[in-house]
Amino acid sequence: MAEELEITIDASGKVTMRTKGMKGKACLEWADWLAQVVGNEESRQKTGEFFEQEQKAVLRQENKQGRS
Amino acid sequence: MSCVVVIAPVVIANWPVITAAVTAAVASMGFNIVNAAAVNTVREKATAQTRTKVDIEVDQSEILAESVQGEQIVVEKAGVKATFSRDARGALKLCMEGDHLSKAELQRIGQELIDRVTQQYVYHRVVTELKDRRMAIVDEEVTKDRTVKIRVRNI
Repeated sequence: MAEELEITIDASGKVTMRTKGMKGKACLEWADWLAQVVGNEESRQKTGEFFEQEQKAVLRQENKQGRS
Repeated sequence: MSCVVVIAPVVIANWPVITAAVTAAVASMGFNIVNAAAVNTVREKATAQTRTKVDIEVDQSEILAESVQGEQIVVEKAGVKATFSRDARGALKLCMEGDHLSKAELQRIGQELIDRVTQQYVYHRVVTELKDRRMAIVDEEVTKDRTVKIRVRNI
């Protein structure tokens, strides 16, 4: 899946960015990048997709350990 | 993985970048950039009694000193004059002057000018940095409330 960003710049210049299809901690790296480019971070939220992927990663790890 | 991040803008730029952002932003509000001679003519026409003046400082801004030598940008629309400059602390400053307008009205117009300049600056900065990171815009729209929405993907 391609990495995708949805960026909204409101009328006062405040920016909201939602990441999609990121692997690993890439979305957090993009959040850091945006803060560096635009200004002061006001909030950061991991979405359901984030936790879903984290859960899958943990299960994969457990399966690997179970097999070895 | 997915996350949502909200960032409040801070304008940090040299004077040419500010000039570009102001030029693009004020045109969308119907303001025109005027030269010094024209400004003086406007000043002469106005009387001290009818002219109101408001200074607005953009706290979240920094104009890089080496790029500024007393520069200012003056824009005007229907008797309202707005002068962008760098204040003593190095922040962006906007001086609003107008005939037959209250301070509150000038403050409102000035704040809208600053918001548009900030939005323009942020848009340009984000798009430039995205290109450097090999991200391409696949969709872009401006909504009725002047919000810009862009969708980008890695190339």
